[in-house]
Amino acid sequence: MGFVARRQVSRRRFIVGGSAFSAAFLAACGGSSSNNGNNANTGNSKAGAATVGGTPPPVTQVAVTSTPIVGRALNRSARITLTNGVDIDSFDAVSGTGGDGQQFLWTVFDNLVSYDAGLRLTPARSLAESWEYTDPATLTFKLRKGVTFHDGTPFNAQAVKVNWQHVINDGSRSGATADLQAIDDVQTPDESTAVFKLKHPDGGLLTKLCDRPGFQSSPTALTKYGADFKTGDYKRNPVGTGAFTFDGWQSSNYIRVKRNPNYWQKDAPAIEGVEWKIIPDPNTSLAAFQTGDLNLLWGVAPDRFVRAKSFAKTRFGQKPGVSIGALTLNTARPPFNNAHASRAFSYAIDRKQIIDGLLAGTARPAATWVGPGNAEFDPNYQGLWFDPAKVKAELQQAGLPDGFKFLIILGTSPTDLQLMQAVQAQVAQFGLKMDVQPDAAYTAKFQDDHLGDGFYSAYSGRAEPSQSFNFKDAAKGVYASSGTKAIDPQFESMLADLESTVDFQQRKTKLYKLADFVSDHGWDIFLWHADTLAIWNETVSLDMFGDGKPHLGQRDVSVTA
Amino acid sequence: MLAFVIRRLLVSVVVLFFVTIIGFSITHLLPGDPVTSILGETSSSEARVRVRQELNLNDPVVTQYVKWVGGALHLDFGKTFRQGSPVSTELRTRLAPTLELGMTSLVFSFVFGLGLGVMAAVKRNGPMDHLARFIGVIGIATPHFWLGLLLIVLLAVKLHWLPAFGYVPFNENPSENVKRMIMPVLAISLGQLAVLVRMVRGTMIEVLEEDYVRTANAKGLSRLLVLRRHVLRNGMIPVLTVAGLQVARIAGGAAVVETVFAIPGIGRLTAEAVQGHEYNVVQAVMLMSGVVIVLANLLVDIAYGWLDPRVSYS
Amino acid sequence: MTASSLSTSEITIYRQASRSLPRLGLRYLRRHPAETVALCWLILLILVALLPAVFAPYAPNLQSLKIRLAGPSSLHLLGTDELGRDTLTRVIYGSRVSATVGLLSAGFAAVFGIPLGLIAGYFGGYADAAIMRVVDALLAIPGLVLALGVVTAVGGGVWPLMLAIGIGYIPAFVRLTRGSVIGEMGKLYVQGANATGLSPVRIMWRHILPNIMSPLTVQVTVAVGLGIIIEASLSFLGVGIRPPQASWGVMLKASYGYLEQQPILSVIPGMAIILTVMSLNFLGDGIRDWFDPRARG
Repeated sequence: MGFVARRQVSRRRFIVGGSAFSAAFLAACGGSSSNNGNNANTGNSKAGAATVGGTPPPVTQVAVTSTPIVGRALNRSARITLTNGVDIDSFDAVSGTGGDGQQFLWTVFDNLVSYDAGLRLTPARSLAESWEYTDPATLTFKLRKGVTFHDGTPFNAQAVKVNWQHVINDGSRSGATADLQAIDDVQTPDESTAVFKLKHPDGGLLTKLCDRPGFQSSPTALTKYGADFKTGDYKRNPVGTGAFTFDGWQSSNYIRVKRNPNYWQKDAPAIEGVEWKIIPDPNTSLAAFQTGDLNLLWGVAPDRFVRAKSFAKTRFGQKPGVSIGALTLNTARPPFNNAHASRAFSYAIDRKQIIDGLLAGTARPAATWVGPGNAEFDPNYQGLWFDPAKVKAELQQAGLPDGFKFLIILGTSPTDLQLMQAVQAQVAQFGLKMDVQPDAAYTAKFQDDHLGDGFYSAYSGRAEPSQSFNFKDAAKGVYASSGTKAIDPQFESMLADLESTVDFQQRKTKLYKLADFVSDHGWDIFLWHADTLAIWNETVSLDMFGDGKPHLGQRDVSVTA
Repeated sequence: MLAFVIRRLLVSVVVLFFVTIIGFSITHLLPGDPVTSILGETSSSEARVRVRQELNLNDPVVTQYVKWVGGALHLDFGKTFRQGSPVSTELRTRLAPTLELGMTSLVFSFVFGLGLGVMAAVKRNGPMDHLARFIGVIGIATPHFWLGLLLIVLLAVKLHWLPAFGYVPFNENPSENVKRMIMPVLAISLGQLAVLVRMVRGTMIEVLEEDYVRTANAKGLSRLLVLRRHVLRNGMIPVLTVAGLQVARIAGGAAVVETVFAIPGIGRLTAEAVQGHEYNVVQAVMLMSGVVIVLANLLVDIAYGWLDPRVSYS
Repeated sequence: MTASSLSTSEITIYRQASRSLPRLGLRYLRRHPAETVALCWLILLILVALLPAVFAPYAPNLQSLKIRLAGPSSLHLLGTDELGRDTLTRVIYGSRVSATVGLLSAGFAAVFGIPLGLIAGYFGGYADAAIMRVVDALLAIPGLVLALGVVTAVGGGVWPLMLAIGIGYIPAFVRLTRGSVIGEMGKLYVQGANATGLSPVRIMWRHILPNIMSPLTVQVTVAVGLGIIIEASLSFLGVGIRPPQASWGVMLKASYGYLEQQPILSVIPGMAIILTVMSLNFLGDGIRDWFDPRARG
């Protein structure tokens, strides 16, 4: 088994420039459902490279700098100002849950392993200079030398071990603990070597280390402030090795980071600092961009993206990613414990019409949890897409020929509300009476109170797609453990088999077998993969990553004078 | 006078007791519990059980209430669920913007409400009277948030006169502070201004027709003197009554206006807390706004006596 | 302040009743153009709200994603909304929901507030103290926050909104009623009724209440308007009426993001709210004038 090179996803459009784009939107800020470590992928290809005792896998070296406007000098004292709708719940990777946390974490912290804009694992961006599987159960990291945390603590093998323990001991909140469950022990033969001893092979491990489980905190700071989420203060006093140091925070007002003068990457960062303004109303955010208070607006809704066309001195970014707009159903009770009822619902939704009508064409119909940004993505895989004849057939089989009634809940995003009203009108033609109820705390109410027969959210997706199946559909996942999901032993064994598979092609095949299973059982309804949309001031240069999130750390962003 | 204040304070304690009961009932009526906010979505069911116990959520409601009151007496309102920071700290950092917004709005609506109302009453059917009547109806009828957005589009986006959002503490940057306060204050005040203008105008017209004013006028006292001595003083009494209510109105309006203008204040905190299962925050805010409003009403009552010697403090 | 004017209202009623009411009404309206316009608007509103299907050109939830955010045309007189629904139709159906929420919440507050106020004012003593302390407590919680809490607890829809908004408005009715009752207590007719040994319920209901109806009616008109505004604010915060049902508040919230693109979409529900609440206030003023010309405000 050789190294399976990460294919360039040719469908990936990456438009930077003043004109071209159609509008789209969605995810980006995957809502509260995007919790958990969102792990970037492409790594499995790397893991696939693991040859027993063999040479280290070849590593893609990619230029990681952004591309400033030619002929203009960099303005190194500039700041990036952007917005987030709510406070970031924790500045500690391990105890945070929001899908919006990483944009902050990537400025103050570095990961043991990092990916580039194309989601390829890239040592130049990582705290580990190289890594290799010395045998299927032993993963050895060579660590970068001379790196220190912001408080002066040296980064070394002992620090890696402490961070693993932090994930295992204090991480029940983020799900990072589950991500690292394959690791049995971390050994530290010398200062710059960390060895992960595994209980069993884990094909997605390296990719997972690119996200929440892999951020490296200062061991001194963890002890000093207390790492536990409930009792400790580390969550408000983050200390990493990143390009920026934490520079204060005021709840519902701002979060600031400023240049780390001792950063291990030469001449990085290219800017003075980053400030997040917490602005709850998206219309106010857009106004703040127009008045110049913000110079970057991430995750713009398609309608606003279209409107921004008229803005002067603005650049537009659009990129397909890994997010999935989906309806997560309560399959533990009627009507959706009946697979035919759920499948009828899925067949009744004309995704294309909604994508063209409401998302300005900036999305594609979704069939499962694997998105166009994932290496495993199969563009020809068909989902349970619009088919009036099949709706009627499924309703007959379900024993509900006249349709049925159910409630879908969702967050308070105006765009999501439009999307669900469009779905509501479409399925009504088949006798499916869908009630829609926005609720700020919809995910909590779905799980804790079993409110609603399903909920809609723009799930931010995972770079490692098996995690989505784990998170959404598995017995140890969120919904099964809160009693809103049917549990099926066959699915469990298929998933366990996938997780311990290392070969890329085999993983992909098994992934789509799982997709078939979920479709057959009507567990979730997949609607669309929306492109990430962003606008920024023309002086700003940045790369949009395939994970749909803003990357502002390292030297990922620069500003010209 | 002192006896009156003491008795009123005792009554206030009773009122605040009811406030805590109402606050507690509402939060405990909210379906669902805060466990998901605390543990995140990916939590295991064992962890959920543990946290429920730690939060005393399995205790009878009465026990929970007593424990909460015990903490509140020491200004310990527990921690926020989502971020795990003490509620009292959260309230302290959020207080300044709301106080500034509230006080400015109160002063603004009082100064203009009184001025416009008196001018309108003195010269009925004059231009000021028309303006007063216009503001009196339009102000009550316009939703805060809509006015806020109209202001943002007009003054920030189109005319570039003012920044669109946010809050900067006055001691950090006075001019930025003022610039960013103008639109929120306008948005929140128009409704109060309208109520006051109507009230002042109506009262003044009534007072101006009273016999003692006619007498004073007939005696040839200067118009200004009459206004100051007789009219304003008597006209203030109903206005004061409204003032007590205004404090509550502004507190409610702040929830919406702070959300529109992204001001990190108590109002927005409350709106988010109510929807996000943050029991501890909701209860603390209700108690706090209760204290403020009760005190405001007490001050109003004392002011009655000062304005009108006929009112006795018994 | 209202209490003092009540003695005259009694007399006014008798005086006016002796003349021809319709003719007086017409003369009153001729002299008060603002009140006349307000009355016409409200009558139109009631008609439209009662029979939306007669006035609306389309079905309320008929979508056409191809023509979303269109400007006014011969097919869609006020254009279309963010889902390609006819704005005129939506604002007509929305009037029904907004008016219902306003009326029900005001009614709820009056139904609970007036009897409590009567009891507190008539009996005084402990009953008064107990009622007024609870009322003070309710007043010490901002109405919008209270409403937000109740809607979040009970869920969306017209009935929860009635409860949520109505509760916050009970104190106003209690205080006004109580104050008015105390104003009436010293009057001869109440003392007489007391002397004849009539039951307190009968005295409150049959004798006192009719005499304090004027300020209460004014209060109801104000409360209806306030209910419409609070419903809009709740919609802005994301709770309240369930889609696809429209209320003016829901429309205002949905069109909020398109103010620059398609201003009419936001202006129509906004103006509908403003006109209606203004009209209700004019109506209130008119009622006050009608019963008590001296208290012109």
